[in-house]
Amino acid sequence: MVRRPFKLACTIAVLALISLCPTASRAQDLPLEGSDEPIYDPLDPFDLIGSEEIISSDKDDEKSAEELLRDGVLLLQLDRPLDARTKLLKALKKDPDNYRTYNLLAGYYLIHVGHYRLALKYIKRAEELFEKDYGPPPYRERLIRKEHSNLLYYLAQARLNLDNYEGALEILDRYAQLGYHDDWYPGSRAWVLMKLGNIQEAIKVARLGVLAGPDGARTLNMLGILLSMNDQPQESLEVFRQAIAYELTLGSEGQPGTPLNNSGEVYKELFEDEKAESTFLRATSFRDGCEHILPSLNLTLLYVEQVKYEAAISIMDNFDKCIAQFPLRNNEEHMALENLARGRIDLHTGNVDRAIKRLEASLEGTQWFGKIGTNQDDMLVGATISLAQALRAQNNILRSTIAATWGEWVAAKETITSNSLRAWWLMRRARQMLVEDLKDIEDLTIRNTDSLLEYPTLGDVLSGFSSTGLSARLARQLAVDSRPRAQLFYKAYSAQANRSLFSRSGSGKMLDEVIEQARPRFEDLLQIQAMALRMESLKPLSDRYRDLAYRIFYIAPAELRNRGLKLPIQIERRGLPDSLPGLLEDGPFLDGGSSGSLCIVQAAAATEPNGATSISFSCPGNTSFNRTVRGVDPGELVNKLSDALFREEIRNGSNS
Amino acid sequence: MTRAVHQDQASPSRRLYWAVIAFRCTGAVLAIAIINALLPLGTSQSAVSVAAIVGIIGASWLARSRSTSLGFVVAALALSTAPGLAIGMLNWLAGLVGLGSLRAEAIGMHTTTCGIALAIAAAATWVFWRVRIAVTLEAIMSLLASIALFSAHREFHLDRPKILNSIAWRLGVDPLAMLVIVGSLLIVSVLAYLYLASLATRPQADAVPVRRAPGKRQIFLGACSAAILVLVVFGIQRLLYSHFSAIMLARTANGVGMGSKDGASPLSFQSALGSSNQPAALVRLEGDYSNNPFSPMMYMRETALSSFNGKEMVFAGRAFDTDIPVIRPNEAFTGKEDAELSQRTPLVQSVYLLADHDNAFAVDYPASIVQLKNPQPTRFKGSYRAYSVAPAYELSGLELDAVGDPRWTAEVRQHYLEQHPDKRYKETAEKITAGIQEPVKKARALADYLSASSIYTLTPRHEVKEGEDPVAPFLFGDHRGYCVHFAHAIVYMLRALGIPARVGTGYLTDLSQAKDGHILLRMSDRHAWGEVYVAGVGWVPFDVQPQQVESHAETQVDAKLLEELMGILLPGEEILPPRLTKDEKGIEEEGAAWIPDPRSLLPVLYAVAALLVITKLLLRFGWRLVPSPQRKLRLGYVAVASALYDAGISRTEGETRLEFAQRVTIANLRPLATAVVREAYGPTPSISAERVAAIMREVSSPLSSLPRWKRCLAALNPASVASLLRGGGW
Repeated sequence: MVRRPFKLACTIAVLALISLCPTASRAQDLPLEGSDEPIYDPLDPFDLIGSEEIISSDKDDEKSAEELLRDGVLLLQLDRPLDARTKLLKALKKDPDNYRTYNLLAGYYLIHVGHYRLALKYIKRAEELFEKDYGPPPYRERLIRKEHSNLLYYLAQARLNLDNYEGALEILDRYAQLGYHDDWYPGSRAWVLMKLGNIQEAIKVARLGVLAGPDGARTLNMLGILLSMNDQPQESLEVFRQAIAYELTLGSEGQPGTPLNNSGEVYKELFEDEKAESTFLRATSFRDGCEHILPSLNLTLLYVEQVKYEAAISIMDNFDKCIAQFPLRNNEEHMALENLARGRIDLHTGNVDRAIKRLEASLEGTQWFGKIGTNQDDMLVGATISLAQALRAQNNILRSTIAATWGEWVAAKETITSNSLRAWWLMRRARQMLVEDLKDIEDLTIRNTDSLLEYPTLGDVLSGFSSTGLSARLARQLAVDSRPRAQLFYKAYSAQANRSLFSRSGSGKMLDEVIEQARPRFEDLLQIQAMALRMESLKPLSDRYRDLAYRIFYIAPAELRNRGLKLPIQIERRGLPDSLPGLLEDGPFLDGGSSGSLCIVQAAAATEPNGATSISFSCPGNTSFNRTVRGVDPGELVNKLSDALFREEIRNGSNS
Repeated sequence: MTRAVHQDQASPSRRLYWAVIAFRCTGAVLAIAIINALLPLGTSQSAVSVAAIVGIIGASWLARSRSTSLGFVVAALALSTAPGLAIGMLNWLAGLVGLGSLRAEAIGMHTTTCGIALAIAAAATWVFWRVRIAVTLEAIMSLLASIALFSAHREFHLDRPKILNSIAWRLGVDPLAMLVIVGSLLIVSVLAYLYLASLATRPQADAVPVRRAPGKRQIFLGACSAAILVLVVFGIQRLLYSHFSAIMLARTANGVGMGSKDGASPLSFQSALGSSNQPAALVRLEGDYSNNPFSPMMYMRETALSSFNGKEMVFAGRAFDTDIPVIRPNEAFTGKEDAELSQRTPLVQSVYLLADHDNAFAVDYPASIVQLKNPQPTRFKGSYRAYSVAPAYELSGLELDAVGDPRWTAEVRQHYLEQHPDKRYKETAEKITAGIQEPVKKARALADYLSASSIYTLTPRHEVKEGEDPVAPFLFGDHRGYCVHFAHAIVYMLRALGIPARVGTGYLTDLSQAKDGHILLRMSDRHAWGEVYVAGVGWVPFDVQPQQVESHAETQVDAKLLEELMGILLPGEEILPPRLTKDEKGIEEEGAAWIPDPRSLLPVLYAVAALLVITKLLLRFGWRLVPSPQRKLRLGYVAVASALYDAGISRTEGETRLEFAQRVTIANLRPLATAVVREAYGPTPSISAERVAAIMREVSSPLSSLPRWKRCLAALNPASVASLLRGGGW
């Protein structure tokens, strides 16, 4: 879930700081009446006279620390962060004992840069100097109290973003004990309490905050998140509705994308896919929903579950275009998550080599989770499982690829061996992380908002646990998760975990139920997973196998080859090279005889003088899968046909 | 005496036994660390290492017992699987009683990982002790591992594997040097291990020891041989280093090397495979650059190639390209600001070099470059601040502008229009720009054409003979190439159309990977591009960005490293001392394994050296300090014997002191040895101080008959101190 940024609160804090600059020194610094120097009022947001003068560093050496500090504040308001940083550092050099400069730099690193370690250093130094100037708290002077409360605010935010929740709570306690109060307080306290697992207390704090504070949207948003976590989805949606309405009233200052995304997540949890989709789409249409990855990511992952890969790609492309408008935004805010989403799309569309690269990049990349409810462990587990799946898919593809030379054959075997080892280890590691880092698979709740797991295929990793242990865990889960649609997923996991044991027939029955009950359009990936698992236990030439193979082929052809399943086809031998039928069976195809319902492979044209042959693939009643490939070597023909059928190149929302 | 002799005979083989075990344990720990870095184990590395060490020691102990192979397999299986089985059983029971938790499974996984490590280490060790060809097999395995390790560097991928690169970075060593060091150490370690392994008595594998266990002298000679071997290996590696480092730079830097020699080019057309993410510099923008026309990209120019030598573009000399400060990074520069240029904005950049650079670089046009204080000389190679007059134009707004500078002389204009003799460049350029009148639009059309038709690859593999045009196979051939090919192609075509152009070199960086205006430049960011002089605006990059990419080195900037470097720059420990965040949670720097600062090791080395000198001095002259004649005599003997020991003359096994004294010819040791033996075994101590002094006068300089260089070597040899640590026995 996205947390509303604390930019507004910080701006207010900055303005408060300016107002606290000693009046005498400000009066001193103002140009005298009649002088040529421009007069500007830093408190007037429309008064930008002299901003160019400020940006220029020509006269910086002559300016006092206080003047440079004021310049820095104004430049921050003008959205010139680097100029502001330089001015503030110059101010610091001139007067290294002014806590205001440290405080402003702390705010700068908290808000503009997201360098929390550095922000914390500045704020701690500011606090030290503040106490040197004014003595230890409590303070009686109103302005001093205000400034101290601002220091504590930054300190709490820095600790919060460094995942030091106990430390943040300690500051918030101190804040309350000193009798301070501000609009941000209930929301922050509720967030910290939530992170510490004290949901009930957090709800109480957030409710009080909503009643008391004028900064309603942020606290409302927080309350909505908490209610959703407390299994009160309807109440949560109602609260988000209020938050959205509130944000919309703020006009361009509002951030409705955040509560919209959060309510989309709740709809997703409720399996109201259409509402979730429209809510995420709406979120991405707002500036804050467009520039932050979560609404786009949520929508993309929803589309992946629905096997709408073109739409998924299109959402990610739109996000890239959107983020390109902010050239100074650092990639670490979104790149690892984007690689994860794109990697999964590549995997499911058969572009496995690219998927592996992207997923590896996702695992290696740094993701900034400052304002996001999910965390690094969620992403690591999600990416690790997907990478293991991609490695297994690559093995299946290599097994069905005809090697042209002995060298290729040896290289393929080497890759298969190392991939198998790596995939086994990654799945094992993922299971370990699921239990240890994600607290006994707390994300087993299907469509958990903070999770980055791919629920339809989660059975791939869960089936590695012992069947008794997993059964007991699933039983515990079923006791607390009463959502009917979630039951289908749990059933699929049970079936997958048990299918290699004695209850193969029971497992088959469960998979059949999943196949039948999965909602078309919304749970296509789950259905494909169940069908693929079912096919593994069927005789390859049985009617049921053929039926399932074609159902998968028409929805997501890449899944067949990815999972090492063969497509039954009719081979029209006339005009084909002699070795081709055998090679087709070594590839991802199966000679299914001459049933009229099968797709047909046949010679497309007479063999050319240079030995080149063309073969065509056509399916009765479905021309969208018609393909023709040309090549000299029969193995090359099979490989080209496999790639043409089982690899989808999706770019800019269109299949090519 | 008997016991002492017995111990002397037994200890070398025991020492060898433990030396081999120690070597194997070290190897296992290192292997586990490498595996953990490549594929996280998920279980504590220490726990897995301990399991492997237990496996090695246990298997060594069993191998020297009467245990059979079957007995060993049973023992190893039991030891490695028992904990896992026990936990599995508990887990099964937990499942049966419906606890619904999988935590026991995770514990089971940890124990299994340790069990696997134990079993593998034990099996390999058992085989080593019991199978005759095990040492040969291990030698082959070491060879294969070395090949696997070094094959990662093929095609100049010197930044692999990541773990080595990371250590090199921490130590401030360049990657090639790191490879040389690791390669040498590896060879020496493996040879030392194989040598020791061949000496060790293996009870079942060898009915008789392969070789007799060595004496002290042999160990000394062995150590000397190893030292010579190390020197030879390092010598060879040094030769390799100097051979490869020259071509390394261009290969690891997208083909864009360094240097500014007139009439020469730093660019390479052959291959840029090896393009690496090695950090090159940290650039800090000191102000916002919101009107950057190339946003989010930013060009930082280092040099320009405007002269055509008949084959490629080369440096033109100081008569041309006067806008570029061709200075070394440690020099200052003050340029003349061109008042005619418009649509530009001041931009200040602080540059902190992380790799050696021949020339300073900056966003064009640098009005001045001044030196900055290097915030950390061990990390940064140099630092300077550049004040640039940076581009602030709208690219679309230049389309109707004229090209070339009206102030140029005919000679200068001709220089920038010097054409390639191959007419095909002109024909191609005219074909692409047919119907376009404005020169800037023509330049844009050429760049667009090349972007659409070119395939980016780091290995174009064009067959170009000496003196042939390296660009023709790209432009009139397969269209495969990298920035060097693209830049040359566009410049040749631009000039063919009468548009003044040159090749710019330097860095092209993506500001979206910057943080707080801090940009981490990598070698893979080095770039070459075409430039056109637009009247009133100056040199404007017209870069080719191919849409088709065959191979690309593009990766994310290491954000952790960037933050770490930012921490060095900002604003310094005097303002933000580390104590501020001493007790704060979550701020510890995550990074590579801890590597000690080489400087912190120096005091330790000094202390060891000082201790060594003091001990040697005490050994030599300690006898003078004691009052008792008996002690004086004993220590006097030690002084003489240790001096001889350092010169390589020592008692052999079973040799008495008197026999030794008889054997030594370079000094008259007999009176001293006789007196010592008499005092040791005589009825009562009776020697006087005067007598001791007289004896010592006779033999006080036992090495005086040796040449001076041998005496110097003996003075430096720490063998006597090492012998003292082992209990003396002179």
